[in-house]
Amino acid sequence: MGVVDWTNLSHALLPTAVRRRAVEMHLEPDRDVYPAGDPVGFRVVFRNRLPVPVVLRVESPVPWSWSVDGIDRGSRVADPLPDDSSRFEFAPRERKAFAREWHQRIRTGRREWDAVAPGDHVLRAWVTDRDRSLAAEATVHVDG
Amino acid sequence: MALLEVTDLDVRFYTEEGVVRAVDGLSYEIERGERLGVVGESGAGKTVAGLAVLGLIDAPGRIEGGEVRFKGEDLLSASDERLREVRGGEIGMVFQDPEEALDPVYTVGEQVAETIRAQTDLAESAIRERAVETLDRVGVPDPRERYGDYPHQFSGGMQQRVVLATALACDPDLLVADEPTTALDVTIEAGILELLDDLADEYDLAVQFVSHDLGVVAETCDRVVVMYAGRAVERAPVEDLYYDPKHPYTAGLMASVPRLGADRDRLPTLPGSMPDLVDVPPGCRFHPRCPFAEEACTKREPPLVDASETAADARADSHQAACLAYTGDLSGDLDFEVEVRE
Repeated sequence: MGVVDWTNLSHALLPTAVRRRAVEMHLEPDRDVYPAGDPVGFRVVFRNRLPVPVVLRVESPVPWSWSVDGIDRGSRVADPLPDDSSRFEFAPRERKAFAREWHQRIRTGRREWDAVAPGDHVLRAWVTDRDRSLAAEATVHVDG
Repeated sequence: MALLEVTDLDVRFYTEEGVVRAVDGLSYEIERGERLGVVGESGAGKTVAGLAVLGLIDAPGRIEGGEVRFKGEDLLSASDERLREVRGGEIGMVFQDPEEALDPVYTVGEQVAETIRAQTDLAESAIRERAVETLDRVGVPDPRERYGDYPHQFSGGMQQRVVLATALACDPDLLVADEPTTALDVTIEAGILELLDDLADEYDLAVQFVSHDLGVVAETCDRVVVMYAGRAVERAPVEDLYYDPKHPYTAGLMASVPRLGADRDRLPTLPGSMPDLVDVPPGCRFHPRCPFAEEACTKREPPLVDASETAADARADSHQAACLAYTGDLSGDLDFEVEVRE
């Protein structure tokens, strides 16, 4: 008897909207307020709420991305992700966490970065599927 | 025209964690018969650079930019068939662990012969004869008798000699040797390095020697590229680099090498660790670990520029370093010095 591929089976049985709702996502900064120049550490956490495997079909080989104040990965230098589709797979009730550091800089040229102004800055992360609606964000404050 | 010219090489791995920039804008060249050392800590991108030259980057890795020219031919646009001809033919490869490189179910002689068979039209008897000669060349004793032995019947050092024989069987012009002695004990290592040296001299073989061991590179190479977080931070003839390092990272590496006669209780170490290549710091990638870092280092990435102290020293094989101290953007000085005792 063949082995059942539960990941493919769940992909076949769960509608896209259910799959997207099955995965919850959070963006968690390690603090709320940062002195100017200190790296802002944050984690992007995903959790499959269902007791079955869930697969999200994404439009890039990297299943999620992030921005700060709407600037993709903190860079104004165009560096798009390849647009090959891939899969973001979760085992039953699996939790995945990815850590990032944002150094309070915005890349403005091939070799140049600018420091951001003090104040509030919005970090946002999203799954790179077609409508990018599975997303999370958090606001951090940079002291002057 | 150099034998191998690598220009602005960009290799990325697309993973769930993010985009790993394993090699980012790397350029170097190797002349015929020259031995180039590529050094750096684990994760610096040295191995990936070697694999990219050989066209051996597999998914999820991709070569996203740059050029690799071998004898003027662009290898990045070469067909798979052409790459197979080049690998094992004009470019030989030796990797770290001979046990992994050798197939346990074929005799060592057959493995050398297979390389020759794939690259030439020689008759079977001539292939066998050449395989025996190559095993002899790399110092395998009684090569005719040992032709039919299996890898597990050889010691680690002898296994690495067999791997060298497979790499050299078709008289390549370039050998990419990735940590070829790291898995061996020091006495065996010395023997392999001596052999590599002799073979390179005898056959005018160019070598790209990847290593984390500065001492080994000093003994083996003519020029050195120091890599940090996917980028070249210093390039220099080997003596210039060892007697007069220009980049704070290289100076830190040098200081952490044990030296005979040194009267220090503890070796200095570089604080911190190599950044995650998914998330490299802005500006100079070394700035979080650099004792000379200033605000400018967090905002500007230094290009690799000439760091020779006098115009007379600046020549084609000049001493280059990627530090803002050499672009006039640093207000302080790099006040390290390396003391070498004769």
